[in-house]
Amino acid sequence: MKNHAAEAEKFVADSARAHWHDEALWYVRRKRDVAASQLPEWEELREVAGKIKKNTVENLAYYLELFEREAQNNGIEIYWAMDARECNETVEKILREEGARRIVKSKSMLSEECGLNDYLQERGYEIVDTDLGERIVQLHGDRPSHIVLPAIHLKKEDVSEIFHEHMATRKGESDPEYLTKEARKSLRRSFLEADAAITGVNFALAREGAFVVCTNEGNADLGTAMAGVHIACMGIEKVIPSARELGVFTRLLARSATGQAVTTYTSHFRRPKAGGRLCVVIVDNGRSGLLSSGESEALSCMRCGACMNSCPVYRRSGGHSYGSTIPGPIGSVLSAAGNMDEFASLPFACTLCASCDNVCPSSIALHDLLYGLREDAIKSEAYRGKRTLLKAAAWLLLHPSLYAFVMNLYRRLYPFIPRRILYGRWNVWGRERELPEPARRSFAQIYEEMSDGK
Amino acid sequence: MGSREKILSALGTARNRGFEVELSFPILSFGDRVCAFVENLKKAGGESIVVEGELSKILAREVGDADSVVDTTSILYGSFSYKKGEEVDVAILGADLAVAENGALWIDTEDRYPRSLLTLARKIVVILEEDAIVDTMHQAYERVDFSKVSYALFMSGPSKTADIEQSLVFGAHGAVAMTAVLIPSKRA
Amino acid sequence: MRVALFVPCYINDFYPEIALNTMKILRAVGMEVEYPKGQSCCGQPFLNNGLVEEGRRFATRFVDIFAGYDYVVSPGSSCVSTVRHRYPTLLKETHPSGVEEGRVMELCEFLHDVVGVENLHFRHSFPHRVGLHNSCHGLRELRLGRASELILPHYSKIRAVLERVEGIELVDPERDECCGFGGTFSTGEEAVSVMMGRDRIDDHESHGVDFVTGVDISCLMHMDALARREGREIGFIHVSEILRGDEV
Repeated sequence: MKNHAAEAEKFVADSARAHWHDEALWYVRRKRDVAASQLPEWEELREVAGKIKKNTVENLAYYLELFEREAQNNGIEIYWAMDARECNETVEKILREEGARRIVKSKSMLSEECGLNDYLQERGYEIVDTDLGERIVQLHGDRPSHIVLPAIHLKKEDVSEIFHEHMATRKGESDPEYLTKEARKSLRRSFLEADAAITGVNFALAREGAFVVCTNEGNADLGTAMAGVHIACMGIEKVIPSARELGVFTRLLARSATGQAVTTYTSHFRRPKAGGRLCVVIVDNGRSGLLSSGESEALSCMRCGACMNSCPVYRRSGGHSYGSTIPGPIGSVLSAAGNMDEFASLPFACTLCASCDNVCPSSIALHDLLYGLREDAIKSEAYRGKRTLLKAAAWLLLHPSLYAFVMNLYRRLYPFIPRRILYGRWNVWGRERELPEPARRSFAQIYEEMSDGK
Repeated sequence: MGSREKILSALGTARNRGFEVELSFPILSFGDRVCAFVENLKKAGGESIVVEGELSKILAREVGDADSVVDTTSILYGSFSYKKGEEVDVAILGADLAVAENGALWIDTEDRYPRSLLTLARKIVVILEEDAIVDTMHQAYERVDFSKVSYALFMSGPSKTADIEQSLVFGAHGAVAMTAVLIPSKRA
Repeated sequence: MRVALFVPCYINDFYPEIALNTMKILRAVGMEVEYPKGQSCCGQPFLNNGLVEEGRRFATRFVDIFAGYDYVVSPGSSCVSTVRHRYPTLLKETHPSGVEEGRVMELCEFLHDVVGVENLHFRHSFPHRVGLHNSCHGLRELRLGRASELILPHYSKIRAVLERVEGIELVDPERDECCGFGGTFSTGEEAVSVMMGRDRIDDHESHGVDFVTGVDISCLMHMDALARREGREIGFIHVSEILRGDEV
């Protein structure tokens, strides 16, 4: 089982860096607040988005079939994949048909989820992540720590070193403008030479048989414009009824994600370009199972990352501490719902502060989902001790007279307990914090005396 | 049973409940849509010019001493040729839809030129009539006729990234600069 | 009106003066206050750790003990929130018609919504700069104020009530963020919890406040525990200690 608390402790140990990380993401959260406040209808819009997503998810088979039919009419090839393996195999099959070796990929959390990069690299393909953040992380042999800001855990000095090593940029030069321009030059070659382009899908439009990819860099547009074949991988939950609903989602997505009014490129793909192929792989990989679970609401997520930016735990523990492809509140829900044995610690990596609920553009009640998942999580072997202790405490509290007796004993003994025992190794609270002192008399006792006196 | 059938059957019966979005609340609107558009495009890193006098003169000034220009509007140059993968200095495009709330311009290649022009031009100049600016994305999508679209995009400003320490840099992969050239509405 | 005083378990044993003040305040505004016997925990620590069956036993107990009162008022916002936010699902089977969780209220909420701030005439003053810590469950579940994430008009019931006390100067911190207590989170995720708590204290201290107040003593206890260990001078007091129970 992954242990969030242990990983978080390592991240927090470098206090300056953890605070820097926290501030960087809080800044994005505040930008989101400013952007959202430009729309008086913001809260209503979030609610409507949630309803659209919920309705679509409840009728997913209908919308997926409609999308498939319309897309095929437009000349788009549709493939279906049950799981990560089948997704990767399908992508490779298309690449083989095309004789493609060099691939440019724009950001796709689904491909991260499926381990597509590793799969293709092991088979001799050259795959280049073209989103700047993802490229940094790829060169570093790292993983994205955030779904929108993949390299948010790295400082510009880190990027400078990574680029110096892999792209021979000037040593010690860490100006973001310089580094970005160098990446542009280096990636431009990859774009111009690409045989195939892989993208994610932000929204698939059932009625139009088209799909939308949103980026700020234009990397999805450039890659797909150059390569002969465009393969877009989408989770089954990415479909929405029609372009009409796009109005709602495009207004929410970028404002929630980065505080922009809209992404720079909101690109609509409906037909393959002349002489090219346009393929969409529709991937389940556990999503249909989620549909029948208590966490089906999580399928409404549009991957904006706002819940991460707003999460006081995520900001201080870093995305990698979650040990899952998608970190933060939504990542904790998806991971724990999908594989509780592995991710039982994630529902507890949360104070139930509910800030995530308030920023979610699909109005997902994330903190309630995390709360609900704890029912299964606590049954994990790793929490056996905690469970036993809590059950004993519950038993005691359900016997108020006995509980009062125990507390009375504690308040009498308290002044005589040596500090080294009170703050012994057992006391995790007391490592950095003082214990509250028990009052000389409980309120129940005070009240009783007051009533007697009357 | 193939994966398609397995997935669809796992999702339960296909239903169409005839769901429609109801936007039963007031939507943002601007007294001066042109002004809002200009302001929001500026926030996204783009420039705007309102045409006074001759359009071709303004375009000539925007093009400056650029070596390679692709004018898909045929206003500055009578014809154009562009091959996939060519890197050019300036692309002149036309748009008939734009959005005040975010400065986005609807650019549809209409399969008239290779798609790479939109990202391989260092600077993009878009000509737009002021009448074509709508308040929000809701109205914008109502106006788009997807039956004619192969590939089209809303573009708001030049390509950008903030992936290194949240520092905004223009020209991540695509255009480094973008200018909207606004033709005043005939009614005014 | 007959009002039952609901005293959360940790307040009973560690902070009885908060319960006492709450009772006095309620009496001062003309309420007939009783403290029903046999009350215990609301079940939150167990529910928040997924022990639903245990939680349900506390919930059932709670609704039995507090039946028949016009209102149930408590000085603990997260306990009130447990009743209002978690009990309905928990008791769906046994109490299908509901248990009127709505009449269970946090102290400031009760003073604001039921008594009305215009009827609060405190005779004492509290001439201090006071930081207002918005506890998460009070802010985002009970909606005692507008959380900074929400694009809604600003309001704060707690502030509206506290400002009825003369001389008080309330200061909002930069962030209306969680203090990191989170019940068992404080030990299960010790490192993050401690960092969150310190960050909140730093935020308040940077505004030069004498005290930090709030509607949940558990959050205040957490920050106080950190501040005391580090010898910081800032004080943490529950709203009832500012409102006091003098004649209103």
